[in-house]
Amino acid sequence: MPDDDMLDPTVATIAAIARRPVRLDASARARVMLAVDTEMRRARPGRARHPFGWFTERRTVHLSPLGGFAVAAGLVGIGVVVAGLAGTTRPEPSDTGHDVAPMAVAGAPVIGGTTPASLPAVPAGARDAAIKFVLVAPQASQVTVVGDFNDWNPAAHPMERIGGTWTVTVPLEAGRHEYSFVVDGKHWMPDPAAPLAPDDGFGVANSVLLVSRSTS
Amino acid sequence: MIRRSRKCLLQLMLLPTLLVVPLPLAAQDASMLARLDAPSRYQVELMMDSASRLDLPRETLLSKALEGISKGAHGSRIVQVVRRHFAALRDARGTLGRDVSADELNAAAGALQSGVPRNSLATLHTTRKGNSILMPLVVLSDLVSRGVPPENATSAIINMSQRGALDSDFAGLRRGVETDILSGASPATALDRRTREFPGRGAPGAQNPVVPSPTRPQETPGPSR
Repeated sequence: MPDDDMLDPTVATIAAIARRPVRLDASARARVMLAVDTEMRRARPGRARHPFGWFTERRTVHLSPLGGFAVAAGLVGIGVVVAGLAGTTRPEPSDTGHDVAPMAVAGAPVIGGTTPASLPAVPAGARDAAIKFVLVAPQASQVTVVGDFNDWNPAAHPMERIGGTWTVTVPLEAGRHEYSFVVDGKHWMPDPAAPLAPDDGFGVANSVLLVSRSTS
Repeated sequence: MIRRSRKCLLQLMLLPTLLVVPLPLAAQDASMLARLDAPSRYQVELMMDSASRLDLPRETLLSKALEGISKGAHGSRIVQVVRRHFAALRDARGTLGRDVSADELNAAAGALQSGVPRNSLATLHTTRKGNSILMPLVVLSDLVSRGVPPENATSAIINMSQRGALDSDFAGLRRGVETDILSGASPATALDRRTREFPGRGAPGAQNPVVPSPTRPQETPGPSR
């Protein structure tokens, strides 16, 4: 840029005037921004009127490959979670097309009663069966059933008391299950009406329940 | 500024989605084993990984650990139990091969831990001729748990299997022995009595069953099916 001394005096005067700072009143900025905003609303009128315009408006989302993978994994995860929840709560039809057997007794009276004939294998007729665990414990104030089907969580399946009998119905997959009863939160005891599992070293034997797939 | 706020909003919307991304199996196991002390948890996770590599059911080992946690067992005890079951699973796999289900493998591992010899497992597997050995193994372990000597229980189960016993026969045997024990009979006597009552199914020797000596189960002259 040439020095002003080298310019024509007239040009130098004009340049000096142009370099003077422009003084604006305080509301100028607000007026300009209002004008810009008005122009944008005029260009896209739907967005301004619709309360959910931001959500319904088409837009381009830029995602990194990692972000895209995370979103895809999230969608798959949602599908897995939903499928898992549906599988544990909804009985599936059997291979032969029969519906799930409505209920099968897995436990039997124990305290203060005789031991009836047990059912070591419960024909379920489907992959999932509703198994009813029964324990007679009149003196107990709380009974739960724990096993490999609920990760041995005593809070998962508390039993309901009807008189002196405690019952709970649990949907189980076909196969071999180990379980036990927890009485009053501290006394572990096997189901006396079911086969005993081998002592695994924790001191209290578990019971075994077989849930079969076929109805034959 | 508006663009930045929208970007933040979009990220907030994606956050719940990312939170439900299924965790890897190891992470899920770790969360379930969180109540175990760190050294014990590390040992259990190592064995579970080894089980996966050996095509053994790792879920069983996890279940054992969770059972121990729920029963209030000490970490070292839990590790000991899981290690013992892992070894039994490996032995059962080596004995029975790969054509058995995870449930059968678990039952076989339990039988081995009860004192049933490996060769008896193989014999039982052979005599069942492709049928599931799950029920015989469950009954076998139950008998041993009720005080029947392992060799007696093993020979009785193999003998019944050789004479064509069905799952219902094994279940009946278990009920009968249990009833006799509750009536005061010794476990060995109860088993001997109930085994002799089994007539056999569709075999020449069915009318006159022979109960072999418990110490020599391999010499049972049971007919083939």
